[in-house]
Order: sequence, then structure tokens, then C-alpha cells
Amino acid sequence: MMPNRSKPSPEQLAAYVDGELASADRHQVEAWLAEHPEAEAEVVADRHLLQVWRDSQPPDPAPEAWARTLQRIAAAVPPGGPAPRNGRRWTVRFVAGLLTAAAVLGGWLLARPYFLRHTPPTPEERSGKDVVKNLPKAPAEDEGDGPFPVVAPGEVNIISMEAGDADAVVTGHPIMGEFEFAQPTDIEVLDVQPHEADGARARLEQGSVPMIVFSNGDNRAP
Amino acid sequence: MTACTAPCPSAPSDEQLLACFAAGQRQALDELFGRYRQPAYRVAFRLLGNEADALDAVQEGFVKALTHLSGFQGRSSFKTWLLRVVSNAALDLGRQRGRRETLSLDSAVNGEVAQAQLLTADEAGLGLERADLRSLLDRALASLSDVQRQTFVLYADAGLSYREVADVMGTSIGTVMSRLYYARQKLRAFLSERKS
Repeated sequence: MMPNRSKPSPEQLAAYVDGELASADRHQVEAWLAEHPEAEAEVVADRHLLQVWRDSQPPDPAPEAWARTLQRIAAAVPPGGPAPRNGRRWTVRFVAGLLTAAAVLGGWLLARPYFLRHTPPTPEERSGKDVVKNLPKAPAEDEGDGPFPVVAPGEVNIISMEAGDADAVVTGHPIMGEFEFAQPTDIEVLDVQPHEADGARARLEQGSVPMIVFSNGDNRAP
Repeated sequence: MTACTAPCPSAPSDEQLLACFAAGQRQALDELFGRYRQPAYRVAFRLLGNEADALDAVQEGFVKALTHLSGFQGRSSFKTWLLRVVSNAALDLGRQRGRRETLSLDSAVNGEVAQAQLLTADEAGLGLERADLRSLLDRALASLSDVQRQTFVLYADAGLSYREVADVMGTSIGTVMSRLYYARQKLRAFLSERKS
């Protein structure tokens, strides 16, 4: 509702042109316009714009174009196919949500052992300290010769290795004390055959050179 | 939703038609399409600038409106719900395909001229004038923001009342009044610049 004989806002004037004002407001605008004929130009300009706009409607599509469109709509939404009513829809959504949550939880529980087995090594593990600690004790000098029995010759082949990491791989005869093994991501063990004499120990070979790579006694890939 | 009596009544309401359509009566869709295809097309055409894209938007709008009927039930009419979906689809389509700003000029040269050739000399002159005018109005419309454009087109082309436009846009009548006023100011300024 407009205050008596106050100047209508530009929005109200436009609404008057559009015939959107309530009866009382319309009369007030008409009274105000009668007192302010200079504002009539604004009204005329708005009316003209609307008239021009409506006169420039695009031509309707050909009947065949309408028919094609209708056919596509009918194909996309066959009769009887609209969405179910509100209540049922929410029920369906709720049940679907529950099922999804159950599926995610179940999937996580099933995959959990896998992720636990593949937990990234700690820095300490990466440094090789644990591995070294768990390695079978190297035979003393007087206990006999032979390579450090981590992996037996012929049990593991290195298929691929970054050239820059070659120095990090310890090869040759037993080394006592701390040393750094190859990183778990550096080597992919494709196949490990248990040693005939001791299945818990393995030795990698590169060519004919025996190479210590890993062992903590359980034949687990690094 | 209103229950469908078989066959559908002779002068069914939109709700009855929707119920009949939900009950599997194809002719209910034909009737709904016949009722609202023109305002839907006019809105889409103004927002997209060409017939093919406008028909795509109309198609998408009808499909979405019919598959998401619960979105309007009890809150608005099918007409306002449909025009809301169609105008949103047209704006989305315009963003995806890039509104063919140059099409107005191109169509005056190609499509409209081809169409004009089928008319008599007087009608052709009128057709070309209309095409030129539409081209100018298209460019004027493109100078508005998305919401101003949508509001103005829903009012001027779909023939919705302020109340209905407010329903479609999910806003108040005051906001609709304001948007329409500023849209008109911009359109008039654009057109008077071109005229001068």
C-alpha cells in the first residue's frame, strides 16, 4: 500500500504499467500522474518497450518440429513413468541411503585386513633397522663360509630397478651392522620361492651376484 | 495428486492430466504439451536465441518437470513449475553451448532471409524488420544479468503475473518488481543508445 498521494517508486510505476497494482494503489498512482503529467513520459516509454517486445515474438516452430519434440519427451518419460509421490520417494531415498552406508561400511571391513597388511613402513622400518635386527645372525667367521643366507640364489629375480638406486642395494657377502635397504617402492617382488633348507629366508640375485634385499623372517615383501 | 478417472475428463485440470499421465495415458502428455509448449518455447527462445536450442530446452524442461513432479506438488502450478525448469534448462544450455550472440545477425542473413523468401514482398519486408528488431532485442537482453533476464522473459514472454514469476524464481514480489524495473531501464538505455 502506498502512502496517500506520495510519489510512487519507480518500481510501483512499472508495476502500474504492467497492471500489477491492487485497485487502491492503482487509483493513487493515477491520481498522482494526473498531478504530475511530466511523469507520463516514463509510463509511455515502459508501455512502448513492452509492446515492442511482445510484437517481436519468434515465429512458432513448424508442426513437424513440435511433433518431434513431443515424441522425444514421450520416449524419455513414458506414460506412467513420472517419479513416485513425495512420501514414497523419501522412503526410497532413506532406504537407499541406508543401503549405501551399509555397503560402504561392509566394504571397509572387508578391505581392512588388506590395508593393515599394506600399512606404509615407518621411518624406522624404512631405515632398515628393524629388518636388520630381525635378520638371522650371520655366521661367525669360524662357523663357515658362504653368503649371508637371506635369499638363496635362484629364488628371486629383480625385474626392474632405477639405476640411481643400484648403490643403495647391498650385495655381496654379509655385512654386519646397520645398512640401508632398498625402499619398498624400489623393488617389486614378483615371485618368492621358499628356500629348500629354510623357507623363512630368501636371497635376491642380480645376475650372478647374490644380493640382500629384505628379510624379517616371514618372507614378506618389503 | 488428483486421482485419474478413466477416461480423462473432457476439460481436465493440469492436476487431472498429470494423474492421467501417471496412470499411463499418453494423450494426457499431448494435452499438457499443447497447453504449455508455446510459453515454454518463447522463454527458451529468448534466452537462447535460436529455434533448435530452444526446442532442446523445451524438451529437457518437460522431461525434467515430469520426472520430478514432487518438486512442485502443493506449492505451485504445473505451469510455473514447468517454466521454472525450462528457463533454468535454457540458461544451463546457454552456458554449455555459449549463447550464440552472433546468431541474431547470422539469422537475419541466413535463416530469416530464407524464411522471408517464402513470403510475399510486403510480408518479407515485415519479416526482415521483425528479425532486425528481434536481433536488437536479443542483444539488449544479453546485456542483463541472468536473473534479470530470466525474470523479464518470464514476465514479458511467458505472460506470467508478478506473483507467478515470484513463484518460479523462488523470491518475493518486491524482488520481482525491482528486477523488472531495472531490467526495463537497461533495455531502454540499450535501445535508445542504438537508436541514437
